[in-house]
Parts: sequence; structure tokens; C-alpha cells
Amino acid sequence: MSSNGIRDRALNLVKILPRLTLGNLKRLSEDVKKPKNRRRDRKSGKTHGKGHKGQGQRMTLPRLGFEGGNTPFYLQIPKEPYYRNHELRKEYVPLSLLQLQRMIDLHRVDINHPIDLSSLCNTKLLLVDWERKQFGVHLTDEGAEHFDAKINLEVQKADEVSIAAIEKCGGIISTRYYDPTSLHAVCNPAKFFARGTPIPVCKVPPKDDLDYYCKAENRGYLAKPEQVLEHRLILAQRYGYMLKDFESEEEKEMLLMRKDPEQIFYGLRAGWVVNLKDRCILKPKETIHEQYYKLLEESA
Amino acid sequence: MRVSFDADLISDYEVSTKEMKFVDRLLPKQTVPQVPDNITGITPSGWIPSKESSTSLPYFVRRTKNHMLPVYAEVQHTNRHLVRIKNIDGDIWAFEKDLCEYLENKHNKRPILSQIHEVGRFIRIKGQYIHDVGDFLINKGF
Repeated sequence: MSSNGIRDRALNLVKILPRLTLGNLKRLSEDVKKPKNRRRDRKSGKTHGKGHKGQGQRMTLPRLGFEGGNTPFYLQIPKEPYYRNHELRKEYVPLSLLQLQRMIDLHRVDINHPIDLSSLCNTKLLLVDWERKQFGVHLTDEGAEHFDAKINLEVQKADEVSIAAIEKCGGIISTRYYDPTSLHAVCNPAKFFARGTPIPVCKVPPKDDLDYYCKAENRGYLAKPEQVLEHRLILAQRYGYMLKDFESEEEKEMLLMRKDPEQIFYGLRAGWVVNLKDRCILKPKETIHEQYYKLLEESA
Repeated sequence: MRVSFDADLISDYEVSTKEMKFVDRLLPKQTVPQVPDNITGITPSGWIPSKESSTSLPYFVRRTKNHMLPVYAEVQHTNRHLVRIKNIDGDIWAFEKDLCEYLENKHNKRPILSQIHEVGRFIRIKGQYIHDVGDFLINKGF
């Protein structure tokens, strides 16, 4: 084989192989330090680092935590498992109604469009970091008595009082779950679009959260719409207010805007690629892609 | 992740610009929005715009980039509470005198300890007076 052929093959190989990044760098084998081998020769000293006589030299030391017959410390003190299942626990950034009202007052969020996690993160006033296992925002009731805006809001968790405060003003609230991949896209849409990857399909909530998002009293996105209407009435009676009607067709359209459970951005479907440079959207046309996303959406 | 530049692997796609309005809504604003003109008096969240009258004083306190008062609570060694007021323009000594007088009158002539940083343009006051300082600045129209 000629040298030219080898060069072509090598070039093709470089194109196919994964790129060298910080994630897949490996240390050189010479750099790995071997543990010191304590031999029994003269070079290793008289006692070979083991000391003189006794349990240390004969390797008959008692086990770790043994206190010579006493009940050891680790058995005397009862276990307090504060950190049990810490790897599975989720964190939610608190967002009070006062903070939300302040954002609305100073035009940081636009109430003429539905407000979701993307618009809240785009204010740069709150940070949702999924590396710290933060799964979105939790709407809290601080400032509920001063809240005064008709909005279509979507958060991840919400108190009963804050749900009542929003519905009292004629607004609509829903709680929804984003899986980590979707959350990454939702928290910084500009960065996600610049990457040029297809919009992901949002997965169903995990087992421990499924119950929360199926309940109408939490205004979960998987709850039945009839039950949500019923619970809106129940909450209005409990807190003593009248539910407001829509004032115009436009407002009705805005307030009733909902995402599908598998959809993560309003007006954009999974599988599409956004090209920010040429300002256009690329939609896959092949049946294999359509089938793939249909299958995923059905399973979601 | 496999990166391939083979043209044969690119599948058929459709180019659309109709949905770009939804994309534009998802892009963050490049600057903090200006204060809305139509605000008169206090907003539902308790935010108050700065007044014209504040410019006639020998000193001026600028708002932060988020249109808030530059007043911050500090805690040192878990129990030493301080209030820091930043962005002070003009006569900082006159400002400190007026502020301490206001606080002393409000708290039964209790002496107020303060520290002036003339180069850094900030003042620190000992004690948990963050709300009183906020009231003072709003009364002055900043």
C-alpha cells in the first residue's frame, strides 16, 4: 500500500474517532505512582517500616473501631441518617410571589406571554443549576396578599396559598416536571440553540414525583383538565374569592396556552434544530425521524 | 459522541422561519430593561421610583443596575451586624451626618457608630438598621 493511502486512512480515522476533550484525557502510564513495596532486604532498613515487636509487626492489630472490649463508639450512639438517599433527593430554588411581582413591576418578565422556567431564568435574577440537583423553582407564599397580576405561570412546585393567590387574580398556574436533559435546555435556551442539537423530548416524572404531577390540587400537568376546574372552584370557596372570567379573546388564548407533556418550549416541537445564525428552524422530514419522535412522545 | 462530515449521512430536512417568533421570546434581553414610565407612587411589590427632588441635595445615592437601593446587610463574626450603603456621590460627610441624625432621633438618641470610606464611596453603620436606612433614602427621594 502506498504512503498516500495510509495518510487517507489515518485522516478518515481522525474524522470518525471521538474528539479529544478534557473529559476523555488520560494520564500517562509513567505518571501513575506505584505503592511503595516494603521488602525484607537490607535496603529497606532493620525493621522494614514495621517497628519493634508486637501486634504491629506481627499484623495482628484489632479491627478498626475496636475499643478493647468496651461497647465501641459507633455502636453506642444511635444512627441519625440525615443524608440517606441524598443522591436521589431533588432541590428546588425558592421563588416567592413578592419576587415574582417585583419582576413583573420592573418588566423583567412579560405578562403578555406565558411565564415558564425559561423566562424566569432569562431574567438572570435566579439561577437553576442542575449539577446541584436543582430541578426548577418552588413558588412560595411570601407576598401573597400583595400579588396583583393576571398571568399564565408554569413552575415545578407550588404551595396551596400561592396557587390561590394566582387564581384569585384570574391567572392560571400549572406545575410540571423537566428531566435533567430538558432542564439543561430550558434553563439557558440561547446556549442550547447555539449548540445546534435537536430539541429533546421531555420524559415522564420519576416514580416518587409522578403522584404529585398527576394530582389536580397541585395543578399538575398530568392531571385531568376537568378535575383541575373542579379544584379551582374548591380552592376559591376555601379562600373566599370569586374566579374571574377572561376579558378578551386574546387574553383567553394566552391564559389557556399549554405545552404538551413531552414539549419543552412553547411553539417548538421535539426533534427540530434551531439555527440562530441563519435565523431558521430545521425540521427532519425522513419517516425514520418522525417515527422516532412519535414513539418517544407516545411513551412519554 | 461520533462526529462525521459525510454528506451522505445528512438526511432530508425542511427549513422554516415561521416559528422564529417563539425562539425570539426564549432569548434573554441583552440589557436590564429601563424603569417603566407609567409608575406613579408605590407598585404592588413595594418598589418606589426615585424622585426629581433628590437632585437638589448636596449628595446623591445612585440605584443599582437592577433599579434597587444600594443598601446591604453584613454580618461579621456571626454577631457583628453592619449596614453598608454604596454608590454615594457628592458630599459623603453631609450624607453621613443627616443619616446618623435621622437614626438617632428614631431610636431615642442612641449613639450610632458609622464608618466613612471616602475613596470607596460607601458608608458602614453598626447595628441592624437596614429598614430604617431604606426609609431614610426613600424619604429623601433616592
